[in-house]
Amino acid sequence: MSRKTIKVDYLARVEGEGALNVTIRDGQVSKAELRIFEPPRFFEAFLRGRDYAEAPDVTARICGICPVAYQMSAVHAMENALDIEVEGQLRALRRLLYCGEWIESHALHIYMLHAPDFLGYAGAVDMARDYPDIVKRGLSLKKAGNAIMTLLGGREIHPINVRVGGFYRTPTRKELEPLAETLKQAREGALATVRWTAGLDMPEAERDYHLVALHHPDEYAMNTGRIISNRGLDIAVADYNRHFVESHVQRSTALHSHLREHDCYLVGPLARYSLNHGQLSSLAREAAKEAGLGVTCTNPFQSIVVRSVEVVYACDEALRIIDDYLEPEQPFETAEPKASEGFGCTEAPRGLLFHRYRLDENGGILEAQIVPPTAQNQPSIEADLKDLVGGWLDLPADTLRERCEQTIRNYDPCISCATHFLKLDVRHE
Amino acid sequence: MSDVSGPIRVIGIGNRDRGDDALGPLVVDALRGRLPATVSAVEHSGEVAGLVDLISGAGAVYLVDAAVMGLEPGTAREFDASTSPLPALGGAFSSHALGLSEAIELARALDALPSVCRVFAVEATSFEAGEGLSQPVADTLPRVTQAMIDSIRQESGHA
Repeated sequence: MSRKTIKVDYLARVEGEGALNVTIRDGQVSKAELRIFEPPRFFEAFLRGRDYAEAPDVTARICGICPVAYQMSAVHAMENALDIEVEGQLRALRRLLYCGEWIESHALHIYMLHAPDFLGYAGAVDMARDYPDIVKRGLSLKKAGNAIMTLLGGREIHPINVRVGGFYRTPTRKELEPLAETLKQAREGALATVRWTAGLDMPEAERDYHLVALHHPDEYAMNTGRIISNRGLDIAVADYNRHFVESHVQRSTALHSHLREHDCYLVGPLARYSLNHGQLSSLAREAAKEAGLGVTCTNPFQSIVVRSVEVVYACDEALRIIDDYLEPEQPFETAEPKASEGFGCTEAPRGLLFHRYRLDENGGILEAQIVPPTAQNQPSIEADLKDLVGGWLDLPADTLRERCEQTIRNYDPCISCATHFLKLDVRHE
Repeated sequence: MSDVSGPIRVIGIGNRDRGDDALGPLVVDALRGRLPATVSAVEHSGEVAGLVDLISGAGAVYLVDAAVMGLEPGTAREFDASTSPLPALGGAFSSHALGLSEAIELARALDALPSVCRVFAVEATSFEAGEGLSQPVADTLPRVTQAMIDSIRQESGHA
C-alpha cells in the first residue's frame, strides 16, 4: 500500500489560521481535511450582554480585510429586529461602501495571492520583480476601493461611521466628486484585469456545485434579497437556520455549514455570477464575454476572472451611485429597542455572511450567531480537493502541493494570506 | 543623520483585540504628544497592500510589530530593513504572515522603499482573541517607544 500525506502545517496568523491534510492511499484521495481557526466564535460570546448599537463596530473588528461585510450583516439583522427600513440614498450609500470593499478585497486576492499561483511565483514579491507594472495596477485598484471605505466608513481599517439605521454622517456631493475620478481610472484598471486574468493558464476543472447566493429582483445582490440556489432553493433570510445547519468538526474551531437536504454548497463569486449574471452592468457582462466566460461558471480556478468581472461591476456601480447621489435629509433612521429577533445576510467578497441576533426589551444582545462564508465553503473546499487531487497524482510533488494551495485559494478563504507562505511538508509513507 | 525627504511615518501594526498583537497600536498611543509635528504615527492592520502604500509614500518609516522570533517573550529587536530584507522573510518573523516583511519587499521590488526603514519587533507570548498584552510585552512597551523616539531624533534630524 502506498500512502502519501500532503500536510500544510499550522501557522500563526491574525486574520485567520489554517492547516490542510490530504491523504492519498493506493492512488486514491482517501481524506482531504482543512482545519481553520476563525475568530467569529469569540465575537459571538463577546457580543452577548452588549447593546445592539455596538454590533456594527464590534463585528467590524472580526476581519481586517472585510469589515464592511460584518458591519452590513450586523446592521441589517438589527434593523430586521427593530423594524427599521433603510431606503433611498442611505441604502445606496451602503451599496457604495460595499462596492469599496469588493474592489479592495478582490484586488488584494487577485494580485497579491492568487495570480502568483498561476504564474509560478512563490508570492507577490517575486511577481513584482518581473511584473512591476501589473502589481502596481493591483495596488492602485485596491487603493481605489480603500478610498471609498475611508470616505464612507470614516477610516480604512475597521470603519466606524456605519450605524444601525444608516450612518453617523453622510457625505456631501462635493466630497464624492474626487472619488468619481479615482473610480473612472479604477474601472479602466479593472477592465485590464479581466483581460489579463483571462489570459492566465487555467487548469481544467468543472465541478457540479450547489451554488448559493443572495438574489434581488432589481440589482446584483449585495445587501438584501432572498437566498437562492441553482437547485431550487428560494428562501427568506429569516429562514436560513431552517435550511442550513452548522456542525462542529473536531479538527477545526470553525463550524462547518451544510444544507440540511443537499450537504455541501458553494458561496462567493462563482455562485453570485452564475445566479445573477443578468444583473451585472452591460460593461461587466461584455468584459466577461470577451474573457470567454459563459453566463455561468463552475471552474473554481476561473474564480480569478469572475472576481475581476465583479471589480469592473463594483467600479461601474459605485460610479452610478455617485452620479445619482442626493444628500439625504437625515443620516439615519431610528426605532425604539424591543425584545425581538433579527436576521441579516449580505454578500461579503467571499460569499454569503449570515448574522442573527436576539435582543431583550432594552436592546441588549441575548444571543448572536455569525456564519462567515469560509465556514460555509469549507466542506466544498474539501470536496474540491478530494475530487481534483486524484487527477493530479502524476504531477511532481512540488506542483501537486502548489495545486492544492491554489485550489484552496480559489475560495479566497480567510486563511489565504497564511497559506501563501506555507512551505508544505510532503510525506511518503 | 540621514538625508530624509518626504513624510516621516511611524506605523504600529497589529490588532487591539488579539493579545500581544496590540503592541503596535499601543505604541502609537504611547507616542502621541511625544513626536514632532512633522512626524505622523498611524495604526495599521498589517494588510500588505495598504502597508506598501504607507511605506512607499514616506521619506522615512519606523514600523513596530509583535513577532515570533523564537526569543524570550518581551525581547525587543531592531532591524534596518532599508538595505536588506528582514530575517526569515516568509517565515515566523512577524505576527502578520502576509504583511510587514512582504510589504517591505514589495516596496523594494517596486523601487519605492524609503532610505530609512527601521523595524522594531517584540517577541510575543500570545495572540489569543480578547486577551490584553502579556506582562513581558507590556513591560517592554515603554522601552520600545523610547527607542523609536531616539531613532527618529537621530536619523531624521528631529531633536
